[in-house]
Amino acid sequence: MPEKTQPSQDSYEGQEPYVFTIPWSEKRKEFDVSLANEEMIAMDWDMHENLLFFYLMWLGTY
Amino acid sequence: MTGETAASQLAEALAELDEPKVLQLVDQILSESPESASQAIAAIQSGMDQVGERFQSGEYFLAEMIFAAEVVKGVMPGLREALKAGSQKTIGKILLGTVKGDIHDIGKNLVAVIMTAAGFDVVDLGIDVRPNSFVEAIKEHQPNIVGLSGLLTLSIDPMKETVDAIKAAGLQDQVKVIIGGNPITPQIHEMVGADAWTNNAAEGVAICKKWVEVQ
Amino acid sequence: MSENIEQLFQERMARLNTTIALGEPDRVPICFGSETWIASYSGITIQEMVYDYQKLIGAAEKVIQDFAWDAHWPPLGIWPAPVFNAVGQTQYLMAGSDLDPSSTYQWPDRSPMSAEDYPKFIADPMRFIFDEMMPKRSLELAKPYPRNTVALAKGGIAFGMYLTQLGAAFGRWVEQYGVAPLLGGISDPAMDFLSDHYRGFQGIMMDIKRHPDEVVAACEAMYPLTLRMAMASFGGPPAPFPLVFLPLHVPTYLRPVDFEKFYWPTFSRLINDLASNGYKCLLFLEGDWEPHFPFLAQLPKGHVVGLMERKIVEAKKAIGDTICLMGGLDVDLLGYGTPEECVAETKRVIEACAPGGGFILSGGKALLSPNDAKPENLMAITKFVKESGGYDA
Repeated sequence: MPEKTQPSQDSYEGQEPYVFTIPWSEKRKEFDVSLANEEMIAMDWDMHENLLFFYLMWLGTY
Repeated sequence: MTGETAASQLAEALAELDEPKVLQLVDQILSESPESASQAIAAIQSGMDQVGERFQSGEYFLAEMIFAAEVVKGVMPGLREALKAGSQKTIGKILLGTVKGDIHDIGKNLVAVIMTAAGFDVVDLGIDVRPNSFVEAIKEHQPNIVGLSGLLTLSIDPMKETVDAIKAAGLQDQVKVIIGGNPITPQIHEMVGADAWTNNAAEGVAICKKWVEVQ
Repeated sequence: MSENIEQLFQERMARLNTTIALGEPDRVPICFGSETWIASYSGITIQEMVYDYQKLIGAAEKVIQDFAWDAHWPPLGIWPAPVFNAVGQTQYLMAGSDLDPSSTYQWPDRSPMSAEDYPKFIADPMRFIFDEMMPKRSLELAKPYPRNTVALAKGGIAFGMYLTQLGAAFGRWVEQYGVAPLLGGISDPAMDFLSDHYRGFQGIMMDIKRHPDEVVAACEAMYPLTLRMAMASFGGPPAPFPLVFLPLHVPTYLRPVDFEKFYWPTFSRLINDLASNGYKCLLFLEGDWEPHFPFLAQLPKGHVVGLMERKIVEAKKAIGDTICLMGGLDVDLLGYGTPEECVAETKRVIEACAPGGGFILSGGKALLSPNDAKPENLMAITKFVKESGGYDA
């Protein structure tokens, strides 16, 4: 979102479904070494996703 | 097709909320003589009356009233322009405003359009209008009727203040005051001291029409 | 928690849960929707409350201390102004900046989404909301990096502080007063999102005539977001209490045939999906819902509380076996009547609505302004219900 300016296209045809954050399963692919205590990292990574969704939807709505 | 037939079709099209047909008929009428334009305005009034009746009977809900008013708002300026200036008769003048502290205007705007369609000259003071501004506007515009609108309960006390200000200025015999909006009840109306109240736009227009017939 | 407080808490939870499940409790529960009214009640301005969360907590706590209703109406509807300032929001007018410091929120009718945007919205509502609508509604987000990112972060920090402080207060109130919040979580049916926040009210009224198919498709596309919003905002694992709050605005403007076509599908699905996920809802049923009672009668029994602005006695007869009814006292009576008149009306409402259970005494809508309720009226009503609202009386 930070780098985007106002979109100029007239439709969303051909675009992948929108994601505003990636789950740990996606983020994990960026590491090609084994992680110590991976569950700890994963849990923290995913924990705030609902709160983030609430915040962004709330900003976009209320 | 004569202007007369198109005009009666126009009334029905509006009553049926057929916007494309309304626009097509108005275009057709405007391409004819100015006399047809005044018939068209009468047709709009008739169509709007029918919409109001269907609303009162429960067939139409507020969505239909709002839609009809928006369609009318779109075509009225063009029709009035087609008439020669000054050849329009109005049945009365009404001052409208949302009272101090309240910024809502959908209800007021709906009433403004229906009143215009009904033949009133409408002066709209907008939103958040102080009691003194109403008083000054009465002196300036000399209306028959003043309509006070409010959506939230915080509009109740300003409505009373406005009615009191009108009385304090000695204008209460010059104008009838009607209050409208969701929070208004018979008890609130009694406290505010206006001449009439409504929370139904069609009913409000009927009350105002009766007042100008009598005057 | 002390033993007495623990017992009080259990009594209240039993009373409320039984009532919501359409049973007969020990006595009629009572809870008023005390919103921005709490500012004048505690002697501060609304502006102070929306900037200083501790003052907000103090005001809500005073209501709990003085009235001790069966649940507290959580001040989560009184939104944190710093968040809105941080992102430069434009959608509603705020106390102290756009309005008098003592004025409740007011929402001008805005249309950040135009009718031409329907195809994009339908194709990907989240993309449209986050990418296109947010920068229009919150002007700082339209500024170039880093200003927009800082604005979002600043808003997020303020939002987190607000939720954390309120959440801590709610926990403390259970321990100290034995009282739980009535509501947890917020959302709306898709058509209300469209009407209240995206197309505007005037806009949606025109759309149902000019673009009916697109309105239907937009509601369908929006649906998953409405469900996720309810669950994400709940702040804990699914539970039947507190209730998910759904303030409904559009329905009473629609003819039943249009309500069925545009509003009902994604509304009923939301209620049903929440029920099957273990939640219950509180619907604010603004306006006169009598024409739509046949629809409400189809909602899952014992899973919905309806806060009725009007026609509660008629609702008892028509849908009292499906919906737990809440309300009964109009704000013009609460605000302008006498304690004696209020108690008399309370007695009448209880006689009409309490038999068989499934009834919570309240105002017909939330209390926003000082003139929505005189404290002495609320006191008299509360005293009466606690003394005379028992089911064995």
